[in-house]
Amino acid sequence: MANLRAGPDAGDDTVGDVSGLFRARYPEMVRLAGLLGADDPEDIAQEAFARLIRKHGSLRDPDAALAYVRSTVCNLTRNRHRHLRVVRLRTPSARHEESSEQIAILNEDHREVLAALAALPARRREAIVLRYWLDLSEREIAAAMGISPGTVKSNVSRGMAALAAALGEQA
Amino acid sequence: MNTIEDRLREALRERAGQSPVSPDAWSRTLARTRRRVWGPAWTRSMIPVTAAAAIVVIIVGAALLTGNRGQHNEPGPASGSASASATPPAPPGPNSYLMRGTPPVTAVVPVKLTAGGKTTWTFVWFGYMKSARDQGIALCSVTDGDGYYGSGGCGAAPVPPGKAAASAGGTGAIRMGVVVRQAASVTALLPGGHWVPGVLASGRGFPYQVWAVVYPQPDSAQVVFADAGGRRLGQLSLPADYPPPSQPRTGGIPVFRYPARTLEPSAGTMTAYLLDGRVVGVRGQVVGFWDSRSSSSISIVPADGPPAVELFGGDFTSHTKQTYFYGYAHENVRRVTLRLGGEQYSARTVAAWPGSDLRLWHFPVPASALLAPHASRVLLGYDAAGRVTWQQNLPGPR
Repeated sequence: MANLRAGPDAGDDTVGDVSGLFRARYPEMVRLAGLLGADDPEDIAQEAFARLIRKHGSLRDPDAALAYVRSTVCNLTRNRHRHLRVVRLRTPSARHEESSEQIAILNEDHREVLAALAALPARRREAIVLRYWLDLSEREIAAAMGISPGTVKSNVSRGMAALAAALGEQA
Repeated sequence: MNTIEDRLREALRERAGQSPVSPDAWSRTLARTRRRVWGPAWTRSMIPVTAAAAIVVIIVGAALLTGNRGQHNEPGPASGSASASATPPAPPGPNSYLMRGTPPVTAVVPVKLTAGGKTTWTFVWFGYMKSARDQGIALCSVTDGDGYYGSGGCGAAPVPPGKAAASAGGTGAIRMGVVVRQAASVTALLPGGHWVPGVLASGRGFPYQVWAVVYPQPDSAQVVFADAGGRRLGQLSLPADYPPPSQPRTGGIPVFRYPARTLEPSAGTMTAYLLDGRVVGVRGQVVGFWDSRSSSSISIVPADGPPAVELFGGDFTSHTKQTYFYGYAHENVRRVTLRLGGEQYSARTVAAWPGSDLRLWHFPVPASALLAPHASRVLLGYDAAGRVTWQQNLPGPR
């Protein structure tokens, strides 16, 4: 994944272009960050789109922009800088508390599945979420995670095996 | 009975459907983009518009041509070797985000960059940013290949009076900028004395040559420019950049083990490392913590200066019952205490790396205690005699 420096202010055209992508995909990116275990999914998703805008949204087509944002969400979720958050010692917002309650009303089976998923190593969890929630191809997952398609396959396979073991099923 | 894949899809779908989205998310996102532009204004008169790629001359340092990326004592004389770039991908179209924001007033020139056996193509041009026209001429770049996804940016690109070159930022591991026409070579000096040759490019209408170097993040670098006779024209100091350093293979000190559903969903170990010269904007040694999932927390202050106590922990999620406060302290701090109103959490510091003058500390704190509306939240450092040597007030719940 490209890691981009802070760039110039975005022009109106750029903001306009990104706003379309934002309207179409922002909820999806929030949900992706949440499923990947982010404690503040909206923070992750907003930062991913802000980075796209700061680069003048210099991607050539909407698919490339989406791939960039998706990859940024994965990276930001994975590589949290705790220290930067810690200096602003924080507690869960009201929104998070709502999320907690919502989890409590999840289907019991779903809760069991999600608990098993959350216990997986981060890379395997990412690969599985991208594969089974976003239905991405191995190539797309590889781009989002910054790894090879072969490694994607390995992560999905091992992750599913671990899930099956945790849930007492055959993968 | 559903397969595990079906169960997984249903669970993910249900969980995803419960993620809330703020109505002001777009405005919050835009607020994050309000950053400064690169460089001061520049009023140089401009060159006629030409969007088509023109004759491209790329001058490559001799070491790059031979693939020699080893250590040198000084940058060699300019090679003066010129070649046309071969088989670049299609340039960005006029409707690309970047070109619409900064239409080219020069040729759009492809530059081939190779590092670590991987090739990228960067298209460069000059134009005026619509959003910052008063900044003067800007250098733009779009990069393809090796995971760059066509990313790039534009930055004001004047060469300051009396200087030979300027930086315009970069993308990923690529750093670039502008340099006067007399330059015949560009080389980056990395920490440890390694020289990495760069590339000079020019095209129709370019007010300056464009220089580019590729070196691993997050190294800082001295970028040195020389003329055809090997005489040094000038140099630029480029600070290190993100991403943060990778986890060192040696030198770690396990600080504590944490159970599942505290710092991470599963149990793990927090390990401290002393890092040297590898952290953005920080000279010398700093302390970093990695947990067993490779999540890192890197200090943003030098370890040999204030504060006396550096705090890393304290973050938690809605699912967390307990979190950890942890960090390092200097030799004069033998105990660290967190006071939450009338409650108190405390731990002795323990010696860290020999000769470092640093000590490590940690203690668990229930999430419920952090959520409670305490009148005061203070982190204190005590010396061996019990005197307070350091104090920091912490903000309350937001």
